[in-house]
Parts: sequence; structure tokens; C-alpha cells
Amino acid sequence: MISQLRRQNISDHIDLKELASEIAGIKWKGNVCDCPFHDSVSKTSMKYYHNDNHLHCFGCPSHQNHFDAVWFVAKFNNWNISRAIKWLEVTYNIKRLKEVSQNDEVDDEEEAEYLTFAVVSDIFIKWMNEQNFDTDKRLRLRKIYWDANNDMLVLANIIGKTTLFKMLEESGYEIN
Amino acid sequence: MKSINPFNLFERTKALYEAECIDWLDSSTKRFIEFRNWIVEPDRVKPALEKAMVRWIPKQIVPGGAFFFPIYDHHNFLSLAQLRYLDPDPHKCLVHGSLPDHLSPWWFGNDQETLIRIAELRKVLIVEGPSDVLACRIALGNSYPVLSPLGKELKEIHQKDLLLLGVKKVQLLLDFDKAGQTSANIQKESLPFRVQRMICPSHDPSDCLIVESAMKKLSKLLSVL
Repeated sequence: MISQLRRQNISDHIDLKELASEIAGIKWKGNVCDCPFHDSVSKTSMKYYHNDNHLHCFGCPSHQNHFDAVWFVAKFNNWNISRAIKWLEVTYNIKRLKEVSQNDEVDDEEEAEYLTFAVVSDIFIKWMNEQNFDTDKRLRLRKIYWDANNDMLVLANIIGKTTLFKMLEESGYEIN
Repeated sequence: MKSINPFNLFERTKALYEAECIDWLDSSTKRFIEFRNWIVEPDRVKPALEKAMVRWIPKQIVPGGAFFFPIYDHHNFLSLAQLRYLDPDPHKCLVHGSLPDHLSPWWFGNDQETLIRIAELRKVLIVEGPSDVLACRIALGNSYPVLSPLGKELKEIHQKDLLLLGVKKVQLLLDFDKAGQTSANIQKESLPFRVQRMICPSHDPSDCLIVESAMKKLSKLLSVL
């Protein structure tokens, strides 16, 4: 799981308004701008809130309209949260806090980079539906799934490498 | 969306009720029945409000003068809430605390008991809003799992959550208006579940509890579940 502390640390060090201009070429009119994630007629659907350094888009779907620096970078580049955090820490020279979860080490394994979280997530859900889990286990795995937070290795470890690769092949993905 | 910690708001409301020796459930039930113009006995409404932890936030609390509909995340943590303000300016708004480091779907009515029932029955009744959840629970006697995605549509994130819970069948009881019925038609074809579309006897399930005849029709409609 991604450390909330690392994410907050990034938010504390980066001015999101400047970041949005730098990576998405956003032109501000005061504290409002054209949202880069949807076509807006008004061109002023996104607003910057200085007090807690976040952006809010009034035109994007409700689950995806509240941006901190990490979520903005992840969505703009179509990256997972983990990759966005690493990129921001390196690019803006933000000292990484020591509180790092165990999975971050696993996360560095580049061999799995070619698999996207979306693919593994779909396989995980399919796998869950094929299993005859009792209610308790199903609810526990559901929590793990949402906690995985775009970290596909968490899900991959639960399914197991052999089963995962077998299911990927069955779904038409090429395994190198 | 306002940045107000819903848990603190909940606790402050609880403290106020306790300080003034007022039973929050009695008081909230009375107000809710008045607000929705329901003809239902308070004793039937109370269990639904209690289960969903819906309460009235008195005006002494800021922000107050609103009904509080808690929205729990997948850890049963109160990270969001919908506030429904009444007069003088009736409107709804979402409040949130600190930003979560994960994305999980927003549901109203996803208490642990309901999730367990969904996983056991492998089916769920979907309605549009919090008041509709309460109305259906009243009509169904609180036992059948009812959820609201806070809108007309089960988005991809909601669908994934239901799949994770093992859901095979979804019963859609959306508002009986053009938007609701169009959405139901589209979802009947597109959702990855068996979909049973139900036609609401009134404009929405909550409105069914305003008139005796509509209430009976709703109970009859839901009795087949």
C-alpha cells in the first residue's frame, strides 16, 4: 500500500497550481482554469483551493473530481498512484519519508511493469468469482482489493503467479 | 464538496443530543417523517434510520439544519457524508475529511450487515438516493440488502465492488421519470449481472410512502424479492 504520509509530504512540498501549469500547460484565470480531463464549455470548471492545496473539477465524474498532486499526476499521465509518487519525489527532489510500507520494495520489481493494474484487477475479480469463498473471506479480499490502490502486485500475490499467468493467457494476454 | 470531517460532525451532534438529553433517534425520526411527508408510523421508520445512522443535525451545530447521511468506505470508516439542508435554502452537499489514499466506491447503505447479506444472497436492490434506501428498507422490513450509488448509474467502480461481493443479480428500482427509466434501460443491457428492472409505483420509492395506495403497491412489488 502507498503510504499516506508520503502522499501528504508531497502535497506539503508542491504547489499544485504551479505543478498543473508545469505538467499540463494550464493557464489560470485567478484560481480557476480549464479542466484537462474533460471537455468543458465554460473553460473554468476546475478550481484551485489554496487552504489545502487541492483542485476540484465541477464537471468531472464525482469519484474523480478531487485532485491532490499525486492524483493529478497519476491521472494526467495515466499512471498508477505508486508511480506518480515516485516521479514526484524524484522530479521535485522531495525527501522520501522513512515510513515506507513493505510492499513498496516489491513494487520496484520492474519485471511486472508491463502488466497494468487494470488487467490484473480484472483477472482478480474474475478469479474471485470462480472461487467458492465463504462470506468472511470474500469481504476480507474485497477490503484488500480496494486497499491495493493500484498496486497490482498485492493482487497478483493473492492469486498466485501460476494461476495469474494461466488466467492471463486464457484471456488472450501474451506472457513473456 | 466541503472539507468538514464527517466523523467529527457526527460526534459533535451526538454530544449535543446527549447534553440536551434528547433521544437522537426519536427527534430525527420525527423530522424525517415531516420532511418526506411520510404516512408511516415512527416505529417503522426508526429501525431504518438507526441502521443507516441517519440523523438530524440541529441548527446549533455548524454546519447544521440538515440531515446527515453517512457514507462509509470499505473499512466501514466514515470518510464522507451527504448533508441535506432544508429551509431556507434546500440543497444537498457532500462533506469529506482527509483525502483517502485509496479509491473505493461511494455507497449509501453499505453497513456491514448489508454487505454480509449481499455476499450471502448474491443479489442486491439498487435505488437512487438515501431516502429511497430508507423507504425500501421500511417496506421490506430491513432484511433485504438495498444500496444507493448516490445517482442513477452503477459506475464501473460500483460494478467492481458488487462483483467482488459475488453479486449475480441486480434489481434496479430507479425513479419513475425519463432520466431514471432511460438509465435503467441502458443498464439492463450493459451491466455484468442479471438485471431485473422494477417500475416504481410512484415517482420514487420514497414518494411511495406518502400515499397509502402507493405504499401498498411498493410493498407488493418488493415482496417478490
